[in-house]
Amino acid sequence: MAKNKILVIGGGLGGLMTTIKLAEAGFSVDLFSLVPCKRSHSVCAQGGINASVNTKGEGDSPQIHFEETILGGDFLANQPMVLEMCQNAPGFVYMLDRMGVQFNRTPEGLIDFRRFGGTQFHRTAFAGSTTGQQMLYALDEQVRRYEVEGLVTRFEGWEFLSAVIDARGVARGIVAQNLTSSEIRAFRGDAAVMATGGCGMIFGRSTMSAISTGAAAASLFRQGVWYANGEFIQVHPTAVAGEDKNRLISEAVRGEGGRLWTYKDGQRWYFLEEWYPKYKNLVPRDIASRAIFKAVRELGLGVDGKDVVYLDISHVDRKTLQEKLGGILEIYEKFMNEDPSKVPMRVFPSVHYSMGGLYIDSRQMTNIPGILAAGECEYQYHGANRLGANSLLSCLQGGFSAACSAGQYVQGLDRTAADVNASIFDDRVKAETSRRSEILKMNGKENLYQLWQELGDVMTAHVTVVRYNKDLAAADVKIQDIARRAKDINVGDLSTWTNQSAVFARQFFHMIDIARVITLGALARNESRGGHYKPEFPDRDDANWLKTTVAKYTPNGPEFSYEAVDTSLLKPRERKY
Amino acid sequence: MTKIPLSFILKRLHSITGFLPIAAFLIEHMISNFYILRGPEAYNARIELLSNLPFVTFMEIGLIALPILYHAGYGFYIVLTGKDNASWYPYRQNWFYSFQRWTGILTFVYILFHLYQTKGSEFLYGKEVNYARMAEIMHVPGFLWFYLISVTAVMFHFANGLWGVLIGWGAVTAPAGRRIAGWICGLAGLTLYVMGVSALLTLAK
Amino acid sequence: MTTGNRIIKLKVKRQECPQAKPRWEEFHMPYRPYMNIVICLREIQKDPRTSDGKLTTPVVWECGCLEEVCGVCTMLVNGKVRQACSALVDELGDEITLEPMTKFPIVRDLVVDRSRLFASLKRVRAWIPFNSAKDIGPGPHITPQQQQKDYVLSTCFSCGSCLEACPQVNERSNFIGAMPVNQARLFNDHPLGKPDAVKRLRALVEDGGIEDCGNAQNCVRSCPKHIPLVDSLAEMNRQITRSLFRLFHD
Repeated sequence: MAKNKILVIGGGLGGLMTTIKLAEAGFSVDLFSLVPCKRSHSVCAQGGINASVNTKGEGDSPQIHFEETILGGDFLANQPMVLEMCQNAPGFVYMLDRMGVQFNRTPEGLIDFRRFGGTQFHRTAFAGSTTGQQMLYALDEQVRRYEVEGLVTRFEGWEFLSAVIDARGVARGIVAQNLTSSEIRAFRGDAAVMATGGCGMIFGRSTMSAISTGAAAASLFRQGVWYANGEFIQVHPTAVAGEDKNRLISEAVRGEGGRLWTYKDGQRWYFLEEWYPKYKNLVPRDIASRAIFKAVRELGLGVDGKDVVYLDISHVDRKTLQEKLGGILEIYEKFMNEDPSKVPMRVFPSVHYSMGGLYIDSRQMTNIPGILAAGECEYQYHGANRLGANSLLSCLQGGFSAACSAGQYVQGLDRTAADVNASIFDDRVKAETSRRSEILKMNGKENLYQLWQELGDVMTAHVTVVRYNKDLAAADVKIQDIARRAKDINVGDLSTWTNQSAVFARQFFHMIDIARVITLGALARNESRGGHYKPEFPDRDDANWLKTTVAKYTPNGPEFSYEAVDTSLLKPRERKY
Repeated sequence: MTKIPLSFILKRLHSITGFLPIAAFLIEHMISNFYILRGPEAYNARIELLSNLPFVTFMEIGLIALPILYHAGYGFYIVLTGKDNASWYPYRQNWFYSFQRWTGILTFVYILFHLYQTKGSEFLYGKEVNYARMAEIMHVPGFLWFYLISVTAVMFHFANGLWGVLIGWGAVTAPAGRRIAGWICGLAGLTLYVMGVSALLTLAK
Repeated sequence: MTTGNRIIKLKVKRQECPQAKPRWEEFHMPYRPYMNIVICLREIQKDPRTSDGKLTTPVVWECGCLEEVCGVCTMLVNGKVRQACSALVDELGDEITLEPMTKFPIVRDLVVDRSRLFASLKRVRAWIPFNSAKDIGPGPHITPQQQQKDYVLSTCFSCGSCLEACPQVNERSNFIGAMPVNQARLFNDHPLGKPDAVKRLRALVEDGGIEDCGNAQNCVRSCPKHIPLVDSLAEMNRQITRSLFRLFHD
């Protein structure tokens, strides 16, 4: 039995999958999560998880799933890892099935599959319209079982602050802070797997949870971990705009027959069906979002002249809706006070997912030995645009693979974290403690939350669906201005007991770093690919830009270099739907 | 053999005592009272019959007094561990929860008083329990009102308690079954209530 | 947008830490359509000033998904337990009170410590005795009817509303509440959860278990996900009665 301790940071799907796989192999795991694991952002995933099980006898296969994922990602993903993910997908769905996930069933009692964007096959397994929640719960239950068996220790309500890296550049543990007592403590570990999710909060309002700040990944970025493809942000075509957040209306609605339309010349105009007769309403998300922008912003055909189009599911019978989409429709009704089974839903695109993230190699290892990453916080698997229902899959694949790699890595170490001199841990704790005190002392003129809103507004206006170099450059100037003003904030709360303002202030400083990585990465990439679209450069430019963006931290802003993409399995071709 | 948790035994015993000896006795008692409507002779004959049953004292203590004492004792403990909140959550069943506790307390007080007026008076002052004695009590308006209110409480406690037993033992689980069981319990309570009240009013005439 | 001069008055019960004395603070803000409690509280963060102009600390509260699937923002809104994100001002009126849940230890302001919920999941073994994460094929066939029934049970997001509304859950009792009972039912119902069924029933009859239910049925009325909690309680009662002998004989 291994004696190594491995730290997992993040209690969402990626982190829990990693934990289960490690515990199963007999490793002792410390699991860190901002919130109780069951409240992680994975709960928000609605539609389902892709796996080419071919239950419906349509001739689907993992190979086709792979090819469609690569095409959906506009050939920016490194292909061998994607192939492995697609091959493992049916096994993952079966694993979830055996964990008790309440997948919807065919009349025969088999797992049912529905359609999703970017494919013509029924490939998406689903549990009502709360698939992410159901999967998260199942994994959380298994982790709880391991917790009872003594293999896993949970640190819920703890935030990752930074990694402890020794003189040889090897990670030996982390420093984390208890969000209630503000205690800052070092944890030794032979490897740390980051599964800290996306960074939607940078955009102010997105479909992401309030905890998805990306601060943990950003903190590592400052410590020297590279950040890849940051400029690739997925904007989901159908969300309900809200002042506090944009609430996702899953692609599953279109998978079950939902249609997008707006009025043109007084008639219903199903613009996606007209423009994409083959895939109709189920084109990939980047394309659907751009189409909505074209209809609303270019042609001025938004409903009532506003940023709204209709998503209509009212023609589907109520029982089917209840069984397959109940959760979404209930939420829409709760927040909008309208029944989607009777009237069309009013939707508009919203920031949804970050394809980019921590740079990892084919074994999920970052450029700092001992730090691995899995799930939305890393950049592999989706290329320039993620296909719907591939995110839950990539969380499992990433977690699975990271656990295997971490296990191999720690067994190959010549000494364990327990043998490392205490001084490097103490130093890190001291540094973080003094940073905390500095933040508590901030009593300037600016309001933190106001600045956050400004950052979100500038990012949403200029760094989402349609990007112009002039605007991107201006956005970066604005972000730097916000960064300057952020040095003059008033935290307004001196307490060290559950001080959320101080915590958010630190997260916000990190968000600014990544905001610049996203914006400057987008500015540099003079082409259009997947979720990154520049009208000035409307075409994909494989000759110059078929490469991964790699950002490195410097005090003067991110420095970019580029790396070739592994396209060994499928030759890049034109992306047409 | 796994150890049976004490709290489980006590709670189920509370439920059993309420259901079997106490509810059964209550039904018998209401049937006996119903003889009042047939006139003094019939009622007195009924009392005669009952008091001549073999082992009557043993039955009165073992099957009635002790179960009631246990049911009341544990019931008080239950009252102490609850915290009514029907003013914030004013749902019917939550009101019933509160009523169940208040009626339980009232019922216990009432039983003691009733015992004092019947068995107690017989023992202390030699006042025989019969039609005339009961009619004498019911001619005092205060006593009559107290009896009427108490019988209402008893019957509510009986009906709602019986329904709780059915759910608590899992005899009914589905919503439709629970609803039907609720109606049946309510009807049973109402029947006994009508029997009890008509006897009281007959005595007070 | 026409908002008129409608002013929302928000009274918030505040408490610095578990040892401190609670106090009330009132905040005023202009009404906007589709406003919910989260928006109101964020408005305070941007200018943490009470209605009489006094500078104060931003209100401490938790929020996560903001679409009623994570359960974290549960609190008392106008005295009743619910999620702040789905509590729309339009249905609450212009004077709104916010308090922390009362059945869990207070942390600060509107934040409470709900770890007992997760502890109770350990108690009732709310999991499938899963073999391993290897690719060893699918689970058993499950009829769509059973899936539809069990799916509803599994949408519980551990918000604690059922405990908060329950008169039997309080500082004088150690009743676990409806939530873990429902989870025990869910796993006893699953073909792969059945091997542990008797163990779960045993956990339910231990001190503070299902016997403490007082049949007030507030749980089912307060559940934001409309989980049939009374059905679950009754069903587990039935299972306990049916296996009374097996429960204590082995």
